[in-house]
Amino acid sequence: MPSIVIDGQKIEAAAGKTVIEAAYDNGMQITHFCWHPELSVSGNCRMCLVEIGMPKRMPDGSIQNDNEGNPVISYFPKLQIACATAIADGMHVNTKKDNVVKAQEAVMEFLLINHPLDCPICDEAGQCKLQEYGYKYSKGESRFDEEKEHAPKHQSWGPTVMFDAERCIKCSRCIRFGQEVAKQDVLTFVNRGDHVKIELFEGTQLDNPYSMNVIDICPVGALTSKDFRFKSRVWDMSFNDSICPGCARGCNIKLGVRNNEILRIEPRTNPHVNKYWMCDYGRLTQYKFVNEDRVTEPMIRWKDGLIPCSWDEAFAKAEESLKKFKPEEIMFIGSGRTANEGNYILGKFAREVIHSENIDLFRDIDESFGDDFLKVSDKKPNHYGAVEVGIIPGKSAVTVQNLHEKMRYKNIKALYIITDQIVQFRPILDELDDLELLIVHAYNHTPLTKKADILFAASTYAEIEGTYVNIDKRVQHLAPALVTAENMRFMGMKMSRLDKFGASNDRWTQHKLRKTLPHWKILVRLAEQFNVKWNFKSSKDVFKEITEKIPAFAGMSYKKLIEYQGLTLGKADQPDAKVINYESHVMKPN
Amino acid sequence: MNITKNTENERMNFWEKIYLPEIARGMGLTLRQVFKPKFTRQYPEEVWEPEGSYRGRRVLVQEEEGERCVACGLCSRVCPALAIEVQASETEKEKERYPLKFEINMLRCIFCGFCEEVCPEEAIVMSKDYHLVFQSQEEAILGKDKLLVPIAKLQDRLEFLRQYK
Repeated sequence: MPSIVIDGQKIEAAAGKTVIEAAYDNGMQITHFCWHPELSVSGNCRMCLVEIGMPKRMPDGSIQNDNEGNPVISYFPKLQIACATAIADGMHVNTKKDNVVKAQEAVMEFLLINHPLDCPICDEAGQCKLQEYGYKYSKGESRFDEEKEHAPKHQSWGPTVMFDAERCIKCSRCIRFGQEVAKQDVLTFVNRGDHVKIELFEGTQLDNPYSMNVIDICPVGALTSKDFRFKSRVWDMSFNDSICPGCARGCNIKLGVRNNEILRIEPRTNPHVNKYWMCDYGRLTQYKFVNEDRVTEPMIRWKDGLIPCSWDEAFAKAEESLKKFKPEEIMFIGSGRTANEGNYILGKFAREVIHSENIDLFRDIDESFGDDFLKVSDKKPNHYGAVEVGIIPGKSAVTVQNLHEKMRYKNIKALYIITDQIVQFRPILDELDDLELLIVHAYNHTPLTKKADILFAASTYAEIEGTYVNIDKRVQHLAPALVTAENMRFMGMKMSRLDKFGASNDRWTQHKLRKTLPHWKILVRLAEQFNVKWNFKSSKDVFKEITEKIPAFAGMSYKKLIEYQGLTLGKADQPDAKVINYESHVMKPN
Repeated sequence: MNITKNTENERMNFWEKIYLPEIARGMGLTLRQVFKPKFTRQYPEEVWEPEGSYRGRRVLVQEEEGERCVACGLCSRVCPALAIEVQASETEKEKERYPLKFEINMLRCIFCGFCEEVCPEEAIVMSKDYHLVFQSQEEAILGKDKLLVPIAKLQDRLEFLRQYK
């Protein structure tokens, strides 16, 4: 392995890497705009100019040393770009010398000549790479007295993305993303000099299923999300780590929350799963159901309608109703939308409390959804985990395939369903009226919840701590981002700024706190009603029992899952190598 | 422990003990004030007009085309008392952002003037208004309707800011 010296620090990196890659692999930063680890090198922003030199050699090939024994370095007469210069053994790189700093200041001044002073209006402000570098590497004043070059500001690039040509610094990341990652080559540079612009080819749109990633990689606010535009400033939001529940890929995401409402979803770097990307489907669809039309408290049937009740009343009613049936008349349906903890406790509850073997779950396969990049046709984020933790029917038990027949012939009289995915299965929905008891853990009001006898208000993926197992059998940890009445005291500093410090009489704190519970907690408390005492205080305790009882999970813990960004089932002792996660630009919370 | 020494010097003499000369001196002082110019104001009838540097109730500047504020949220961020809540939205105007909701909780406001100092558009300024009376907590939260003040009425403050900010 060649070793190079950056700012006097000796580092080793694989041959063929560029200087900037070698620096990042060793936790050092070199300023840049256009370079991105997953995209090709274009080298047009000139922000990564560094001084590069090689040791001087004597005629016989040996390295020439000075009086103190240090090698004499002969530097290239001009500065080189770190993103396109491959490393060579013995190379010396300076990133902090006067001439380099001067070059950085010159590049910043050059980029800022035509950049408008839009920051108060711009959505990127607060997480803008240009803004950040403006503070760190620029002089802070402009010598440019002439009129700035103006360009059209409101340009729609497609269904999801808005373009502001004035703010663009022409780094070409979006062009390269379209060509190399999304495979939709619709963007190009036109003109030259300070007239250069990025434009769509005529008659085309940026409408690929991954189009919104260009918003994240754009180092300035030139590309903004139509869905999010002006909803909130970044510094007013909290960003908590989660896993996208849109499909079985399990992309790592961050949930941007303000006033206890998810405002946007953005990808979180995980080199082993989704790298830097996520699909538009996940971004646009996976937060609305959390914000809107929620079942906020438990409900029980009263005459023709459902009426809100306390948790204790709901548990008492559920116990009373379930006891009327024989174990084999009750069917339990787990869910691939729910974390392992909830599914595990459901299996445990069915087997140990009710003594029923009728446990199964529905799949949701949509062949038209999958593609060869991130999206997969299995639309349940945790199907593999649910099966692994025990959502499997026992021998000769009822399965979801013959459930509707069994319901019709009254072999199954009571149904206990976690989440509402059943609505897509027509035959079963038609038979629901034959049931004598329907208990549902619900997120939203759906056709299914209308027919329920007892409705437990459940916490969604954004309100629980738990684990998902993705299509590659990778167990990943998700943390809560929203506050419910149940998890309030644990959220504390993870809340957004206004939520954290607001008082009870502030207008922004007036939203109603949802009285939802995580699935596992509902079941544990229901078991208590049956006089079965399980000692689970948090989802961590549940996961601990999973790791003890189920061999595939052995050796795992939340701490390890967070540390290694997920572990493969059955391979807790062989985690993937830790990689330094490159983040193009991140909001630094206060 | 002997705290007071009670020496011969410290003891009051006869004239001091009877207090009469002191009372006469006090009366004299009061009498002199009667003939001096008066500073007292009959407040609600007689209103004091502060200088431009006065930090009163903060208001939003309204120009002919509408409000100056672009809802950047910096005032809300810098406010040490969390008195300001801003919700932005999009408009068709050249400045594509405007405050859909701009609320100042006057019970939280401490009149520090940070919001005015941080404002990049000179859109929020401290006015001369000091008649602040509220009869309920809800009433003390001022919305855009109460905050917007025509720019003509704020010239003193804007002039002051231009000179000293």
